[in-house]
Amino acid sequence: MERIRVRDISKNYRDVKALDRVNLEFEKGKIYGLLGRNGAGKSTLLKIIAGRIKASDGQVIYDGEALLNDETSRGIYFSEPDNILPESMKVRDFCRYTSQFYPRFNLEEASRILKDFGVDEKKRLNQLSTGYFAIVRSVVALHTRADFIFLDEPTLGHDAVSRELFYDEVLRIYREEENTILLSTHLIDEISNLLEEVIFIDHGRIVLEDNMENMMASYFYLAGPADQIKEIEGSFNVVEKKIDLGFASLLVQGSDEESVLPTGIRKSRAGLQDIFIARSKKNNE
Amino acid sequence: MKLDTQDSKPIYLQIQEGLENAILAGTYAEEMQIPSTTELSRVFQINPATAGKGVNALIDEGFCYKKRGIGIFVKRGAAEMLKRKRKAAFKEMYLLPLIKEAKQLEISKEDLINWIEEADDGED
Repeated sequence: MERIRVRDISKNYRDVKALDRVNLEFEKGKIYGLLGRNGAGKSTLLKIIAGRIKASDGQVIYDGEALLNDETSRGIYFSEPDNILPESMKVRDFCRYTSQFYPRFNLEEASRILKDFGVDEKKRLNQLSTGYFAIVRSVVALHTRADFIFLDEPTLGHDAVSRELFYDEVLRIYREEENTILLSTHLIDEISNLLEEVIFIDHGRIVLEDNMENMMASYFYLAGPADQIKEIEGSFNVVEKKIDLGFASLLVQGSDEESVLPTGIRKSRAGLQDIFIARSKKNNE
Repeated sequence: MKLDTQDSKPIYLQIQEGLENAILAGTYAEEMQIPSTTELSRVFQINPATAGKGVNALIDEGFCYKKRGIGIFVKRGAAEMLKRKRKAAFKEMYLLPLIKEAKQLEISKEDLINWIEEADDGED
């Protein structure tokens, strides 16, 4: 599969709008970050794309088709935090079961990787801690080597060491397959170097969607004495302003061109997390 | 080379400059192969597209060239060209900020020159 289009998708739960006219496009061959706070609509969106639940309105188009067929559904793998498998299933059987639907799944290789993470394959899924369950389902998801792999909170409960290992594995599979891997998470800064495309979702709406490089190049901080900041702020597109103890900082949107700044004002790069928080706040105003 | 995610420089630029420094230092000598995008992605845990952007910048600026199906190599004369490029940027990157800070602190030109000489003696 080459492309998934999300067209005007809305989802209502009684009178709550979980998703509000979402439009997105996923191309094969990129790592996406779907970033948002808890309850922003990340999981709902992914469940709709994976065909797990129905949208109240709108369509998802898979390579031009409005419905998932046998072929396109094998082009997608969706891994979610809730266990939808029989609880007594052993890790090893989970791998075997998955490999039946995804022919590129290599059981030996997956088994070796799981061992690197310290997973005992003889354990039943319900015997695993939150962290180990997340490792198992995320590693299994990557090893389907499907064209589109959607990972919802893949590192939930992982410790720092296994998160590092996991990010290595994401990149390795991506380099080998040149497929699409989407990471949906609230651990924003940690995954920012992995991403090529970024999607911010907040209160069921897409707040921002851009190429990672563009996004990082179009926001920066200016910080310095409050009086000096006051003098220059008019000439910038200020997304967020903070003043405390006579110091001020501006999160500015605009090109990172060298502009002549007064002595005492420092320019620095904004992190993905900074941009996200500022945009979410602005969205809620 | 080590990436600094707090650095104000984008990651691809850090990759480019890291490779440039290695070429200047002779770690990657003329006609030697530099690491591939895949290797850089693995070692620095970054998206291969980001690594590729850093490597391509070296090709675009004429310090490296691509051998089809083999990899990226350092061009003959690259270290000399790099030195010229860095010298051209020296004033803007190092001198102007130095002078700006010196002015703010009311350090006289004479003091500044003396300090540079002293510091240089200490280096030898």
